[in-house]
Amino acid sequence: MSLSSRNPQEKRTHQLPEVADREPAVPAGECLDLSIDPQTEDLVDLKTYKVFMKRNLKWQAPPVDLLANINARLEKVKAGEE
Amino acid sequence: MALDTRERTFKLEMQEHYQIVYNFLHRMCGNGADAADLTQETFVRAYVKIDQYEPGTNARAWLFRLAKNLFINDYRKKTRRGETELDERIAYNQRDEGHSMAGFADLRIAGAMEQDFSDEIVKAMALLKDDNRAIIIMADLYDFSEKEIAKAMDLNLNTVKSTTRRARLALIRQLAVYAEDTYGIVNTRNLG
Repeated sequence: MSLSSRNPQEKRTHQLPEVADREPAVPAGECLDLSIDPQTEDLVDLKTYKVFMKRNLKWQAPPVDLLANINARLEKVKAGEE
Repeated sequence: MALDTRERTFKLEMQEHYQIVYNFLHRMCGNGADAADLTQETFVRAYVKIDQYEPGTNARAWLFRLAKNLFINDYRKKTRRGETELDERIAYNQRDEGHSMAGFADLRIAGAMEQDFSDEIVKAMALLKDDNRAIIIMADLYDFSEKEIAKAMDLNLNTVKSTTRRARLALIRQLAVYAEDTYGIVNTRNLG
């Protein structure tokens, strides 16, 4: 086998594991665009930013007796106890 | 307002919002027990002051205003924060004012929508001034328009617009540092 025919193969076998093993430079998946429009100084993609905020700050379930407690307080107010 | 009108307005227009008011206050004070107490106080105050509410208008915004004022005027005074924490917050806010937006003109975080930023957002929001945090919560979590916020908070519309921009920038700055350290930041140009 001549040197000229072997060199390209060596190159390929050397390169393939590198590519296969390499960690992606950034995580794959949906991109969050926090870019600021220099003209308006507003977020370029306000809608996606809001989705991001809502996903991360999820709805908090109130205590089950909260409404009952509110009404109990109001009854006291109405009765002049507060 | 006659008693039956007061009762009717309260039942029909106010009461249904107790869960969202609780959530707003939870985001303001950072814990459920205080948020529940403040929610009770907000509704008691709403009932007592219902003469000041015009039936058929925006009950949710009116309740948020009561809740925000209660939080700032009563809760904050009672739960005085430590000097160190206050110093950090003041320094953080001063830092905001000294920075331009140029560094954020072109910023995308790949994969961020699938990642959990919740703790970082809570931390970043805690560093905002109370009024600014209230505005961000109303605008970005509950989709109040800037006009609604201005009316509810008794602020000039331009003040709301500039405050919203500034507060969002402060959040983004904080999140960008976290994203860079944790997930890596990709410039728009590299994403094609």
